[in-house]
Amino acid sequence: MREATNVEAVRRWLAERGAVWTERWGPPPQGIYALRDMHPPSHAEDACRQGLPLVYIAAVDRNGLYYIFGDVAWTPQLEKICKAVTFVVEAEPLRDGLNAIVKFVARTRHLPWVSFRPEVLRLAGICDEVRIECEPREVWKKMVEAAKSKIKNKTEAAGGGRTAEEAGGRSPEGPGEDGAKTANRLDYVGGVGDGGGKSTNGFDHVGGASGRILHAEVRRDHGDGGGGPGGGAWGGLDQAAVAAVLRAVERCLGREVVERLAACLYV
Amino acid sequence: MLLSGVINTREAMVCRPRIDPSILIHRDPRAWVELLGWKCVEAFLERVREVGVRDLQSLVDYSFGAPSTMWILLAGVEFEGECAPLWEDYVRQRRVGMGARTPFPRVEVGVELDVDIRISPAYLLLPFNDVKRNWQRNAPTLLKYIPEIPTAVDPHYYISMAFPPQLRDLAERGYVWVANIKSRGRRNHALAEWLYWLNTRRMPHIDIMLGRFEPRSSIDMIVAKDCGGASAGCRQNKRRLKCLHFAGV
Repeated sequence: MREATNVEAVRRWLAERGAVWTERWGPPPQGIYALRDMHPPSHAEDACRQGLPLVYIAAVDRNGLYYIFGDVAWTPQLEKICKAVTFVVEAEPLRDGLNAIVKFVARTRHLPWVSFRPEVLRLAGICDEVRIECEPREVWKKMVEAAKSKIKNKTEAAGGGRTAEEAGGRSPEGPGEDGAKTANRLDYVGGVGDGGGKSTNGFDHVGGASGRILHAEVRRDHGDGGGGPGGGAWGGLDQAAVAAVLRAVERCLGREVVERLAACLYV
Repeated sequence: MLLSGVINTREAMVCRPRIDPSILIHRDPRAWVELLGWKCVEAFLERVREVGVRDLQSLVDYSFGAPSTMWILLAGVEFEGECAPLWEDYVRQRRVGMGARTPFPRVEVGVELDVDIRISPAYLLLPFNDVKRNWQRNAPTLLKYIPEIPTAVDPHYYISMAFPPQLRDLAERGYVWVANIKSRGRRNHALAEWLYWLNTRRMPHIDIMLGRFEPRSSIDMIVAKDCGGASAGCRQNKRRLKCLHFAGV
């Protein structure tokens, strides 16, 4: 919490940016908290007892809506024990203003993008810059699995040797989660528009509470599997694209990020 | 009809929509103009300019790709008319109805499916994290395949990827057919809405209102013929009755 209370760092940064801001001693205004999971108020008590203030940055848009950046969601119970200082910053245009603050907070607090509300990331244009960070984690898992599969295939093609993973006794299909989960994921990695084709009698599982057509005959005499915009091959992830994405991540964000990602996904 | 030179008076920001907020995930600029009107579109554009959106097409695309940000962006727009309460609820209270909007006619198809999706795609308008429990309770089938609905980042793209192909295939039999499949005694209107939205990127009830419903099989012609055309606005219940009546059920 100590790091969060560095008032001087915020002042310095705002001054360097040439931002227009006001500094108010008091709790933050009502608004949208930008962080996804904030510390409970009890975590702030130690810092407060030492006389350190809780620091908030409140970006205000032209409609008077506040986007609040802080470690602890302010509650009335904090009023008796904590001081708070709120830097109210004009975020105009909204995207640029939010973008700068999100990056500042992420850097100084060592927070991954995933710590922020997706809506705030999107409004701040972070998703356009590093789209990957805004993608659902399940998609990431699949991409990593696809990349691993590709590496495995290459290894086998090169010498028929076992991958390190197999040597370690882990399943080549996944990161060692339970079989059912893995099976489910793999089931839809194939994607929409793969022609169905997993069943010929129309009684296959579809993933409801028990996931079955309880009765009725479902004809499957079509071959293109869906037809709509989801049709075709894009439901399956293109392995070359996955590899390219990972290379791009490494190039833009560094090797460390790729490794952190892999660790995060239990790969 | 020109979008340039938006007037900045308070009056210009008043919007009189003839449709509920689910148009925000309806990727058809024509429908936006027809059902929201230019005044509304201009009011919306005035707000989203802050995030780099410049014209109607970009607005429709942005909204379709980030529906759960729209309540933030539209804060401050004033609504009037029959549909205003639905918009006010969305923008000020962050509330959107969960159920299906489409008045699919009732027909007996004699099929029962163990699937549990009772939430309309329109629920994508709310941030997933804020209403996660509702998704878990009312769309467990969907969450089984995509546990975290990316409501702020291209939900259509990711849900299309994750949606069980076996369920997507059901659309071949027609959306009306799907809507009338039973699951635990109730019909699957929401599932039919999802399939239509995934296939067309548009909401079926809006297409029905505008006479643009895309039938997928002969059974869908009931909707195309008898439930489309006239403006229903936000009086969906009345419309549903009318539609069922004309469907001869």
